[in-house]
Amino acid sequence: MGRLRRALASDHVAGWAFIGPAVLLIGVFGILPIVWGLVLSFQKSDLIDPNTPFVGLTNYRALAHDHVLRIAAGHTLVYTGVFVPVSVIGALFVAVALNRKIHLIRFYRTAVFVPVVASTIATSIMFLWLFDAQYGLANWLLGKIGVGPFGFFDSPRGALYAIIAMTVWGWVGFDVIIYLAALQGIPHELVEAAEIDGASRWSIFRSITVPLLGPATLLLVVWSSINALQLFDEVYFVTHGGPPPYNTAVVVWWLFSLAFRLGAAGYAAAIAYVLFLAILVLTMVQFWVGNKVVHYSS
Amino acid sequence: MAQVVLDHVTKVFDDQVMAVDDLTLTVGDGEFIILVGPSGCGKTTALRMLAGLEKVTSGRIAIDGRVINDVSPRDRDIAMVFQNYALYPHMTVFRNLAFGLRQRKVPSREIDRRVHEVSEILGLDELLKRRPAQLSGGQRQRVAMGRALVREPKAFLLDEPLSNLDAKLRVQMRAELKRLHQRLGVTTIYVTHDQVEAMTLGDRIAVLSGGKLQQLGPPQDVYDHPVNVFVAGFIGSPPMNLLRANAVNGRITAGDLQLDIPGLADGDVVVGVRPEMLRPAGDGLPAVPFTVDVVEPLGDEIVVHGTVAGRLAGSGADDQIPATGSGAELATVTARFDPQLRPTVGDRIPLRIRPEAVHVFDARTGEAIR
Ligand SMILES: Nc1ncnc2c1ncn2[C@@H]1O[C@H](COP(=O)(O)OP(=O)(O)O)[C@@H](O)[C@H]1O
Ligand SMILES: [Mg+2]
Repeated sequence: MGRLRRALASDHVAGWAFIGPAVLLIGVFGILPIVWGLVLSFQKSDLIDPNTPFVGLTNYRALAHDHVLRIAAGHTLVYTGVFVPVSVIGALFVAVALNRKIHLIRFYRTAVFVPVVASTIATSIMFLWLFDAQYGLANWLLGKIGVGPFGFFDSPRGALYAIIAMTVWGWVGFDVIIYLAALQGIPHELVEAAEIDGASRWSIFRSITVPLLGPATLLLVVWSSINALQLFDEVYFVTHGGPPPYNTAVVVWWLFSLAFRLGAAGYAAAIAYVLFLAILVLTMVQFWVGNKVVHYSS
Repeated sequence: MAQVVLDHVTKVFDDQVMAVDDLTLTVGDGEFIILVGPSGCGKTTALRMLAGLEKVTSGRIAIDGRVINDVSPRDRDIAMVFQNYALYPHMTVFRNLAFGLRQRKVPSREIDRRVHEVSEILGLDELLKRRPAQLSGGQRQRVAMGRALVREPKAFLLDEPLSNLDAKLRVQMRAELKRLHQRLGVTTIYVTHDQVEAMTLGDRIAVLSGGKLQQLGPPQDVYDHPVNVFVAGFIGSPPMNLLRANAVNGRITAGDLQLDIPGLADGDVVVGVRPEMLRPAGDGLPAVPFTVDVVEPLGDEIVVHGTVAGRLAGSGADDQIPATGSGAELATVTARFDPQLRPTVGDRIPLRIRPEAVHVFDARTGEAIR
């Protein structure tokens, strides 16, 4: 009895009681799927048939011959290659523009952030209207200056870029908030010292502001890349991977289709694992390169 | 190098805080001038207006006869050393020094030459590849100086540049600053709240209080002839002893101290005596009894705090500790004695005060009468 009481009173019990819920959540929704996914990637499964035989590396070998996967991977790379720089650099300029004492500044800052908290469905519906090939506001405005009309989401070559525009709009607010916080951390004296040293505004931005925002930039590049490589929602809601056959197909959209429509969950799990490893490697490379370039003020 | 003129310069923040009040000052070409005063008296604001970081509310600032009120900082050709140095943390020492020259499109060979010249003067050669975070406080201070020097500007502005250094380094850098100025002769405007720096460094010092210029002159003149109670209490360490007194028929009475000043109008006055002017009296001379409270041996002299009969007068320059005593009014005064004297706590020492050593101020206006 005494021993039990002492055990209950110890720091271990209290510690586990505190982290218990988090451990449970991460275990059930984080670790378990990772392990199950790995197991699944070595099986043949359609998620319905309880009989899921192990097939060794068959699923992984099949990756090499998947024509759609190759297209989807290409789109994913193009998307990431455009989305990441556009959203991060765009956010940098917006944040610098919003980092001053002007009238209604709080309103502008809030306005920039609203798309981030808006649901993807709402954003998708809005952009479907905005980018409608016939009745959309975008084409109407472009018509005024004598260009267009464009098909946007209906256009085989343009649809991916319409998705990029939409996701940049939806995400840039997040990056802006991070940059605004980082800008607050740059001592005003440095800007003043540079002014006295004869630096122009542009030169101060380039030589002082941008380098000192390095840690924030690295964080945003890594974070946006991770997100961009997993693009799915917008493609699923707006273009369904189309226009047909696969003009906006991306990797996660394709593995989703395989797992839940085409009955190839084991193969989809193999794709998911390769994507996971690719993201891991890219993130590590980004941090490795980034930490050589970025200055951290300790 | 240049002449810098402040002409009735005033700065009001947010329509209410009068930070600098009608400051007029001419800094001669190559002069080393000190703006000194307690915290909050407007020193930094005055300097920032000179640099162009703060707009003047009224008045004119001119360099070499050209009014620069509306000239941006980058076009003023003035260099400033910030209190916290404001070194660019992501740049090496070399790049910190070269930054201003790069901005001005100086050819890179010339940049190299000047950076190396300045780093030799300041002993920074070994540090050129380091970042500010890898430097000691004193080294950072030198880099900040170097960044200003290397530009060969029209004038130097320094805002309490030594206040972040430890005492020993501060004394060392003080001498070095003086040497540097003697060598280069750049017009320098130096802000400090430390009256020792003010006394030792400046060709002239400008004492500020509440945004207003109190007195301007060579340090020794200001020390010997303070124009008002504030300056008397601020310049000098330990500060001047100030006592309330009364003048009747040309005779001043402050406790046990009596002093004849023919022609002095009747009324309340403040008398001031510097600590070094208080000496133990020889036999038979008129003296003021002084009771020793605290003895601070400094080696070459002994600072003695004690009490005399009388009432303290505030100068507004610092907080004075009222004497703790019962009944009779006592005032704490400070004296500087010869170390041979070896006073001990509780001693009663008769002090001799030479009449010529006594400053007299009007108690109401604070202005010096004599
Ligand atoms: N940006 C500002 N806004 C409002 N008041 C200020 C500002 N800067 C300084 N002040 C006020 O002006 C006065 C002088 O300040 P400052 O020049 O910094 O004094 P010092 O450098 O002598 O300590 C102080 O009362 C200070 O509070
Ligand atoms: Mg200051």
